[in-house]
Amino acid sequence: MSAATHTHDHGHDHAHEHHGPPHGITRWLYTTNHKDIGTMYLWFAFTMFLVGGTMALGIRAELFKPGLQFFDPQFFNSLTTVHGLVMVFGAIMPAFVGFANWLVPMQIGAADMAFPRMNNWSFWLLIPAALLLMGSFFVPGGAAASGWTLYPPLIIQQGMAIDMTIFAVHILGASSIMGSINIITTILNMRAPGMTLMKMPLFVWTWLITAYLLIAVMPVLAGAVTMLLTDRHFGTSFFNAAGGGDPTMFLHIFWFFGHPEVYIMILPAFGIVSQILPAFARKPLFGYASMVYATASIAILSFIVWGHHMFTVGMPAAGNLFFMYATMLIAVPTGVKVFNWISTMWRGSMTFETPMLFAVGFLCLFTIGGFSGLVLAIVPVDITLHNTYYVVAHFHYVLVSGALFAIMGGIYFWLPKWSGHMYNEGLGKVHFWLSMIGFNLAFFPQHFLGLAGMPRRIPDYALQFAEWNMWSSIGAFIFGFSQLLFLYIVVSTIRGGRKADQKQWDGADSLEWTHLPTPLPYHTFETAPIIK
Amino acid sequence: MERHEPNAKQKRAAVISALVLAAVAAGIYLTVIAKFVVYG
Repeated sequence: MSAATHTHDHGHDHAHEHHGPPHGITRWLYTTNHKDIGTMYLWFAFTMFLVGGTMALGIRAELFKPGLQFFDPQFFNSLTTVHGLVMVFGAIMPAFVGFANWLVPMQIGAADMAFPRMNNWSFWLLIPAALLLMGSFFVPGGAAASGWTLYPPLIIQQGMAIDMTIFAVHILGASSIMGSINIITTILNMRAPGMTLMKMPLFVWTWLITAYLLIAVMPVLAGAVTMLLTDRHFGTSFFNAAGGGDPTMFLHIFWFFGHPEVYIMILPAFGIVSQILPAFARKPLFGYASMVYATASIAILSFIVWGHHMFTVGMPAAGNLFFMYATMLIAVPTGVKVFNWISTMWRGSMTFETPMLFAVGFLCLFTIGGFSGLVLAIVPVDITLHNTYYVVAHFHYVLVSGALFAIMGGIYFWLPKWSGHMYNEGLGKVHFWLSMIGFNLAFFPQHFLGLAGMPRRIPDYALQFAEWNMWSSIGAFIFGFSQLLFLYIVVSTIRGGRKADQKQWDGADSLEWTHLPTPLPYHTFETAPIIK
Repeated sequence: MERHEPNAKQKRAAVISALVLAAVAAGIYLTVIAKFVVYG
């Protein structure tokens, strides 16, 4: 991930020596280079992933057996709350922005992002937000314990940690909006001659649509938490029932943001997988245009399904039916995508290097998460399963084996290009299989626990849930500690190893593979490429 | 060789796009709050 350093070390491109990166801390503080900023996003995301993962292991350690082991219930609830916030806003989203920074300019033939200084600002805003969020553990009353959804009335009643969380969400939202504006303007205005929209790699398309989603829904979340803040400190009663407000209205607003947010976290993953699968199947992506339309359809439909998160609040039957059918409708464009990915592999000359393993793992496990989503879309079933571990299993199949597996596959796929070195393939495969086994052991039993009625967000449980919880905790620890191997692989690859080829993967056909050397120079596309 | 920069037309289009998108984001934020301030 330090392409620029290697450019100089190895002297691959003398043309760049006059304007390579500055040295020391100022390189990172003041950088406007999209690759440097992408690298910082990815390291920030990985750090937060380890922080959130440590909280997850704390949760699983507590749930290893019935009874209270390590934490009091209030702290346990803080752990589940901040784990969710950290993973969503601190790990998954910044990781995808890191990929966007690295790849979008190169894949469309641009020299950099449209607004490099704003890009720098977008990243550095993340640091105070993360400090606020983590610092909230150390103030009187402890960190937010309302769940990552920040529901009132709990969120109105807690201490100053809530204000810190609200400010953190505001800052993260501002960062996301600025990043999205940058990505949209870059894609729409900075493409190389001949790079029409329908020639763009799928990753660029998925990020274009994701950026529009972000601009549409992050201000909604910002509005909701601003009103929470005024309810807490300025005497308003938007959501405070004691003053005539409506807590249920917060749920509607939150999930109007929250469901598109799910797609914000998964559409870029679709883009990454759509780049990896054709490369290792050595075939073009099947149904490119339909993939673009399916992505757009998923994004549009994501605005009309928020009610499926709140079937139990007492909406009219017609409302429940509408949200149920609208949710099921999303299976159609998603099915198109899964069909196209399988068709891409059909009769391909496939090999199974680590990125491909993660992509195929994504395909299998994300589909399981999609199907359990369909189960939860059915109103009477959801009323039974609401707030149980079945829901926890469902969204971890979507966000861990979906988003996170795609991120890891993407790192293995592009790391040779970024660093100039090949990672250790054997260790990469060990990392994949440990992640695969650990993940499934951690989360598949949670379906059984949910079906048996175990509620989520509890530190203690009845004896009949003991055995599957034990296996789930063992799986979580296998998955968690296997990520240290991932860290080792990435660091050792950056530091050295076998030289990677310009086109390391046979079937990779986007501009960074076909037009640019390995490792990538600090500045790319000194002259804009002509796309035919 | 100097790094190539976007031309003036691209820069102008990028600034206009960014302003429109920022206005949309600000508009959505204010609309959400105004809706509840006005109608409760």
